[in-house]
Amino acid sequence: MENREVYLDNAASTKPIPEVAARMNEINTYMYGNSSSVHKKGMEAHRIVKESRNVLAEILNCRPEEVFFTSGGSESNNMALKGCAFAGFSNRGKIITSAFEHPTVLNTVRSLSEFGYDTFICPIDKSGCIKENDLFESVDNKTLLASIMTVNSETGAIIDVNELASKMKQINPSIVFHTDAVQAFGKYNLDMAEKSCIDMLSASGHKIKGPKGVGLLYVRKGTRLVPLIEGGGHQEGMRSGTENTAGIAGFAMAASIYSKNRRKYMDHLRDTRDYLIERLDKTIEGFIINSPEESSPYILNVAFRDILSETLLNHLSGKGIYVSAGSACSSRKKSASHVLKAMDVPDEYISGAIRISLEPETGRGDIDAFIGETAAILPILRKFRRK
Amino acid sequence: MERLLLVKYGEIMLKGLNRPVFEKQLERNIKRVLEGSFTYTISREHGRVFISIDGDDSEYEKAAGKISKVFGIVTVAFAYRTSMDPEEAIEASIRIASEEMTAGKKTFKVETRRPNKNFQFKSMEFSALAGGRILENVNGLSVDVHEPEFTINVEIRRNIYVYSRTIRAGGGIPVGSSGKGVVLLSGGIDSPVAAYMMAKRGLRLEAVYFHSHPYTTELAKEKVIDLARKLSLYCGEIRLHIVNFTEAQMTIYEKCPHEQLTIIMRRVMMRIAEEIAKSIGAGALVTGESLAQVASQTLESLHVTNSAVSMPVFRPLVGMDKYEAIDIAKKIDTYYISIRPYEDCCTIFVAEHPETKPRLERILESEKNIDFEGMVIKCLEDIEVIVV
Repeated sequence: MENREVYLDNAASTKPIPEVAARMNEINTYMYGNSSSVHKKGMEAHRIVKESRNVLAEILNCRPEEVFFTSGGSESNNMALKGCAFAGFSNRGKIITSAFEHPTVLNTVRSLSEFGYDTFICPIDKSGCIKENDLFESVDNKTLLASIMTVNSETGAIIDVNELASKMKQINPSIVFHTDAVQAFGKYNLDMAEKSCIDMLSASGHKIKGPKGVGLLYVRKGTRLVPLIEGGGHQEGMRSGTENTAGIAGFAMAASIYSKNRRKYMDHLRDTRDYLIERLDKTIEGFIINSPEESSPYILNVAFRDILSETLLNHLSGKGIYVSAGSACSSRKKSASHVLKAMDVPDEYISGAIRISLEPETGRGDIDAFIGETAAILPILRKFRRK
Repeated sequence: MERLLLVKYGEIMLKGLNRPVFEKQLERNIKRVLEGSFTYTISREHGRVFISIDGDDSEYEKAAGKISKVFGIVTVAFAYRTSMDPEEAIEASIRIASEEMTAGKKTFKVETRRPNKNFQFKSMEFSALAGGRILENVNGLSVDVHEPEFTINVEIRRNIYVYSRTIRAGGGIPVGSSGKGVVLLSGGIDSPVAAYMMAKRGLRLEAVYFHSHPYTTELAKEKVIDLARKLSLYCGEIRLHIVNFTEAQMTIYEKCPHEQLTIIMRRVMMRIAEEIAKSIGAGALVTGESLAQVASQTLESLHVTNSAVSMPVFRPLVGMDKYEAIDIAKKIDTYYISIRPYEDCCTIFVAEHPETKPRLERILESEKNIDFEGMVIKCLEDIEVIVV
């Protein structure tokens, strides 16, 4: 019984697809050349990287030379924001972002403000959506860069970033628009065709059953960017460092599988998430759903009244059920989630918020296990509250 | 001439007929810290242990660092062993002197000890001879017999040993030569220090930790495991008994007055620890309590806690201030583990105003509401043991 594994923390990381892991192992073992070397062994690696880039470019409907491989979502976000900000260093224009961004964006913007950039962090409303009027009002002719997440990592809120970008560009056409699409890439159709108003997009491998340590930054042709990592001039000098051949191939493979099954996955996820909500409704007293109505079915943020999420998490973990409190990156910190705080979640709920995040293989049995254990422990946790 | 580490031990020398027992224990403990990391040979000779390591200077440094944590040792010296040929000993002295000179030192003296009276020179004679030869061969040095910056020690035994640089070790008595104890490790600053201090007096330790899953995190347990691992550098292998304490805590919380929670909880913990101690043949409990530090450590509280058990309870920190404990915790490198921010089981269910002057009769009265001994037995059935 205790040997089961019910993994519901897929917004933190996912279980790799076995074929992806096998292919990566094969590449790591046999195709170990440096993709910059001109001999056969190097060319072998070079081709793998090139083909992977083609696959990902096709998914994004962009040109291969607009795709840069990075070490993951955090690096992609840093590369986009710092790269763009430093390219416009002489003017140090305004940088706009929102209160519900991932810390890789929020903290980068905060550190840029120390370099003298004017920054604006757009508040979010109670439903967890951006206060669009505030956002548009903040755009002025000095605005250099805006960064808004596509799918929020804590609540699953979906933002029509293309629409936002388009409206912001109507006010100031020279704005560079970046989106952190780490929780959206592979799951949603993100079309970077010419008519798109998005200039940069971050994605990561391990959120879609691919490998950790690899991600990408899409950079629209013509966007001015200073490289974050300089060196041997790899990837057109935009991101030096020997390419992670196996990681890149694994990432492309996982993305391709997600992309091909997008609709099927979405249907299954909606069904599973609805089932989860239904079971919560029927079984559990005293909870609220923090995810907005229109949100990604891959993520559900739920808060239970009068408990500490950490305690529930520990209990579930002991039963082989894995969820997270807030977002996994910040769940070891004691303070409540900055996103939920911004959403004004009531006090008796905010410390009991957990994030349940699903993947295409999550089934009703997993949901049942989670509901069963949670329903059983909640009364006890409410009775013995930790101070 | 060969390099080796020369280990001196202190208090053991005072032990009469039991001395070989202590010495054997010390040798075992030294072997334990070297095992797996070094290729070495070890030998003993009246009051000294010699260890040669297969490796370069940095290997010697690392080995000396590890050995200096073994209780019972006073100093570890970086020495040369030579034959009984005085010329060879002088050569070693010159080599050491020039190393010290390179390290920036300018004044020295030579001190010779001669347990082996068959050597052709008397101690003073040899010191003078070696000192003279050093002055001839190493430029920039002068002799200062009162306050030298370094001393070349020459020990004439079955071989000759020459050394200058020594590092201080922890002193004390070899772990395992004073019996066995059980330490109650909480994850805080004090209990690892208490464990260290008792290990220094030769006590072999096993540890008990009370885990309150799901109220305390896996990280809190991990923290205690890390503390035990750090202590094992001094104490030798530690068996850590992790007691699932949640149910007991909840029962106490439900059935006893809240201002007495902590004190009753501690009495249950002590009883469990005592039973574990009995089962492993240990004769004492060790805690990090310090008089009057918190409500549960007032004289009255200590009395009530103590009354739960009949085994001696060692509280080496009882007369220490917090900062003194912190100093030791930093020295033994447990401090930064202890201050990781995870809750321990004592802080989960606490009364706002815990009783500071509990009376045993009243506590015993409250304990009638719970099956005290039954609770202890139940906890003893739910223990995970980790060896670090």
